[in-house]
Amino acid sequence: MLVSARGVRINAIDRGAGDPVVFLHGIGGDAGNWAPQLEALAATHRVVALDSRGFGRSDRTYGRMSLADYARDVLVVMTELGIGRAPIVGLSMGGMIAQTVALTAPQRVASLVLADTSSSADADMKADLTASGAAAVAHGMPAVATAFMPATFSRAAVAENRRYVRDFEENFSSTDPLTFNIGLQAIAELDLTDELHRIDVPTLVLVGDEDALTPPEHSKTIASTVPGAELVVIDDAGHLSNLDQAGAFTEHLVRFLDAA
Amino acid sequence: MSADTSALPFVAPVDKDSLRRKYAEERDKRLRPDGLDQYVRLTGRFAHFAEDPHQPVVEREPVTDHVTFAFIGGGFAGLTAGARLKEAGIDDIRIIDKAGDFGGAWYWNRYPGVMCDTASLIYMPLLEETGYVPTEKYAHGPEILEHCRRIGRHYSLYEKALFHTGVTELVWDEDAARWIISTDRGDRFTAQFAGMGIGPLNVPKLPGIPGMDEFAGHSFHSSRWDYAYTGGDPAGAPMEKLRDKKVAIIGTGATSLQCVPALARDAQELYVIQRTPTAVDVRGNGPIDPEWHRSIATPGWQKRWLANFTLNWEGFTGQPPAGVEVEDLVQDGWTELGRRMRANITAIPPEEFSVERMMAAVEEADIAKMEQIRGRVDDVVTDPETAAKLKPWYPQLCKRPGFHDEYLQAFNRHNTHLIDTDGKGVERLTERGVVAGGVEYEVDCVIYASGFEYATDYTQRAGFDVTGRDGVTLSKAWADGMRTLHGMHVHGLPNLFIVQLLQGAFLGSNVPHGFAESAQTIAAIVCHAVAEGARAVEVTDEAQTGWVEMLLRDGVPFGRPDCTPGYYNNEGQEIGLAERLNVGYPLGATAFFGMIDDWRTSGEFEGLAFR
Repeated sequence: MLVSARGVRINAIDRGAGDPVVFLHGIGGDAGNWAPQLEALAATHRVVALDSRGFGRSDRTYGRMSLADYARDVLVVMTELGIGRAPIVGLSMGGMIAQTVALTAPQRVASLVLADTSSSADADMKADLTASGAAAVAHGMPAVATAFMPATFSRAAVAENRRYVRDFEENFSSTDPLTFNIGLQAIAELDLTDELHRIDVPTLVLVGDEDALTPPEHSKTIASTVPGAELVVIDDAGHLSNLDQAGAFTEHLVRFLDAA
Repeated sequence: MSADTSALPFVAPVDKDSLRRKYAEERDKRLRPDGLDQYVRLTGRFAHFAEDPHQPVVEREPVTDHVTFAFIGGGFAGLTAGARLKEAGIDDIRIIDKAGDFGGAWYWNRYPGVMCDTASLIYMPLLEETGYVPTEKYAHGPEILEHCRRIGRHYSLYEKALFHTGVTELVWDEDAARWIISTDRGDRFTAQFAGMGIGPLNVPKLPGIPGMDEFAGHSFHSSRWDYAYTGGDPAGAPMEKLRDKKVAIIGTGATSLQCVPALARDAQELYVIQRTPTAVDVRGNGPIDPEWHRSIATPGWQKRWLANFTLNWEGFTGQPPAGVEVEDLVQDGWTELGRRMRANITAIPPEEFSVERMMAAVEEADIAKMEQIRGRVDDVVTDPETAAKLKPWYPQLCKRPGFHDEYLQAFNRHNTHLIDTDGKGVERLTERGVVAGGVEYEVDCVIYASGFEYATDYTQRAGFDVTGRDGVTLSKAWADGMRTLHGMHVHGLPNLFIVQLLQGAFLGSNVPHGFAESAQTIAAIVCHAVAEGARAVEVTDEAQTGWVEMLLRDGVPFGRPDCTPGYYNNEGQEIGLAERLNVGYPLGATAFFGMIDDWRTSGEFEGLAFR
């Protein structure tokens, strides 16, 4: 369904009934990346997964976006859907948006799940983001996808050319390069590590042990900075740990949501 | 650039470092501190250069009525927009032009040998709609001008047209939701919608050479060819009055390439004064076989040819379609150029792709081509000294690439003299002639083939300002550079459509292809507004800002600063905000047209507000 957020239409999957849970995808993806988790949780929860602005079926954007802009879209969609407060689950760029939501509107966040993400962009990361954006605009997403996929999934998943790897690559390749670059530039501004101590909701930090894009070190930093956060490193999982080890990821998620 | 390019298909067997040094030397000696200020306008004491030599101005009564759509400019942009609006059922359309007829550039440019520079089948608009089949792969000027008239007749655009009429003011009346249009013929009429298609190269420029008004002989700009002086006609009759005349032509760009062969044939002596040689590749013009044309002209053929040309041409600026082998329908120097770049870029393994590798691949392909072009000069021109001076030393896309099969040959004639100025240009004019390299050449006639203004201040080129809602003027809105949505819509100027290339498809497509798409967009928006009963439509500030931010973030200025100076790179001067905004859609023309098609067919017209 399309939700109008201050004149911009944001697409969201809205399924199931019960306590709501909000899901935020990573760059180059969309709400559909959460399929295994939505499937498992929809029986007991109202699951809401957004397409971030410019991605999936949400309206295109050309202007500069900051993580705060993406976060505002999340809040407007929650309001439009009648969700006052909910757990927020974000992976990669979705995790960065989730941290931003938690820091700017803490009253709207019941708990946080931060998967395969970072809290600050260091110099190396910024250089990679700039190069990826330039390559996307100059040479197209398929070329960037080819370079990205081995870093996105576990070695086993890539070697076996699993179905979800192919699906993700296809979807990633059809992303608008301008939208992709807008997202990359928002990520390049990420600088939240010094703020994380202010988060005072239950927080679960998940990361694939093979995550090459936001390595486990980044998650360790988050888990050690957010008061009381729990860190889980998932074995044999890459940057999209919720797909590489969907079962384990979902188990930790359900356990955490039930307890929080 | 240290990237390994050994695997690329087009590899030049030359010492790249020494070639780069040669290019840099040749560039540096052409840099001038005055940049674009070296040129002068055809105004004031040069105003007579702009007068219409083709058709007398006919007296008429001023017009004071109302039309649904007024379009300023009667060239390809206005004709295609008019055609699509007529097809959409908008009947009262008025086209206004300073020229005496439709045709735009083809009305003015009637110099001998003038022909289109991209293939007729993609260059001439509305061929399928009018059922016309061009006679040559690159049609000559008179045929294109007649085609413009054909479009005017076919779509009944003559009925309300106003020629030899310059708009002086365009003012928005918010209460009536109409534009009030005033002209230099005393007209004052209103229009619900207005369009502007003044052309990318509509203002001739003269070189600011000292002594131009001391010259006692005859002179004119190539876009105002004086057949009364030269004799002959645009259809190719010999210019018999030049038989006893010494003629100098200043400039060796696209115009000069086409008219030098005729001048060489007809003048007693011809001096071609050169600052920087154009890269002249094979043209390969020839008749179009109507039988063959019938075989390819299945419904929708021209749209397919346009799309195919764009895919091939923008081989390196656009996004390659993944894994698709693109056929080449047009098969000429332009598509070959694009395909060559594409071949070298796609030879880079995806995992090794980087902007640096891409640049290296482009350079490699370019050097190979330029070596071939320089070799062609040696093959054609018999005098080695003249041949050496006709060789271009810069990457091919630093200047508009040239194509001609008689230009270089003209220098083999005993009466045709290349006066190469080693990048410096003419020193001065005297009463008797032209001084270059310290030598005075006595001539009877000086022809300025000095080109046109490009991307200079828009309202100055238009010759009038536009005043929109709440006193917003186009000149102020664009004072620091162009700001639009899609290159067409400007916040504060409701119901106005600007048809031009920048911030849209730009040069990634054949220029008339961009006009054809713009025409469809205008018709779709006007129809939507009429159907919804909206009085006004205007781009939101937010949508325009977003588009501009995107262009500044991802846009790539066309000209390279390390190129030989010219209009492609702001004469080698520094690139400011305005130049950074003079870019196309970063993903290329094919992507732009695809995006615009989705945008206008969705019926949402995202970014426009109808009220």
